[in-house]
Amino acid sequence: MSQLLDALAPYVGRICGAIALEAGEDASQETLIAVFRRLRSLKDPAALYGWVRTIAIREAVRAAGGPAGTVPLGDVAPERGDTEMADDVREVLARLTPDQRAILVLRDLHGFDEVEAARVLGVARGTVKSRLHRARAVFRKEWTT
Amino acid sequence: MTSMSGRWPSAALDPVRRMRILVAAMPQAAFRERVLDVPCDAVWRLAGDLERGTPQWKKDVAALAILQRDDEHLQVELRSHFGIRLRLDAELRPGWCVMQGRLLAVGMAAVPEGERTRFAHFQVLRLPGSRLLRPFLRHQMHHEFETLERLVRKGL
Repeated sequence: MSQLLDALAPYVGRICGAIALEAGEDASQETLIAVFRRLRSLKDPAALYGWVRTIAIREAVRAAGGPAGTVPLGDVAPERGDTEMADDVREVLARLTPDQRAILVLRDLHGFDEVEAARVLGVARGTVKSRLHRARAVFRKEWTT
Repeated sequence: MTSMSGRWPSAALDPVRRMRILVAAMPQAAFRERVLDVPCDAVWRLAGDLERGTPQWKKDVAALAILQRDDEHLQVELRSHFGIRLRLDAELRPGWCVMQGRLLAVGMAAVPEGERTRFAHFQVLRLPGSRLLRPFLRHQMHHEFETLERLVRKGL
């Protein structure tokens, strides 16, 4: 169990950290508690990471205050040891809604196409497209100003 | 956008959070956590010293011997006050220790909380019906936490 936790924690941490920001630790913990409680119900071990990813995204969006929740910029504390650029990314991400961060994580961090992202998020392909468009527009604007 | 890959914020889990997660997979485990009014490094000096520390604060442990050590992986022998001996595989690192065997699993974790320490502890007997022992074990942990806090404060 401890080894499985060692393997899953960084994966979950990357999803929850990027979507839930300063609530990322809470989201990671809740994700992995849900995973470990229901581990025996997983029929196909090959589906483990997909299953974990779906739970992590749900928990991260919830921990960040729901789909449209926003994080006050002043509350975003830089992580110890992070580079200046990582802090900048964090600050820009804080200007997006959790739903927008979730779509960016799936498309730009995990390389999902629109169809796969729509399936994981449980929304229509068109919704993914429009959220991604808005998220990237906000990201680009904040990043370059 | 791609230039930002590898720069995304990532959330790390501290040892107490890790322990809460491990315990979620063990419904029969007794688990308790508490904030001890003593600094974390002092708590871990005692709690992480398995051979000398454990018998001082764990009520049911008469002695604990480290038989083998390979970095953070250990094999230990635990002797209870009733003379029962158990061999356990242990994982020991700062703020984290889990010992597991066929019949018993036990773990402890500590993280600083300001000047104080959040300390977590679980114990599970891998026997049929052991879930019934949970209230007793949790009650025992309450006293063990008090003992641990008292011993650490005495050593400060």
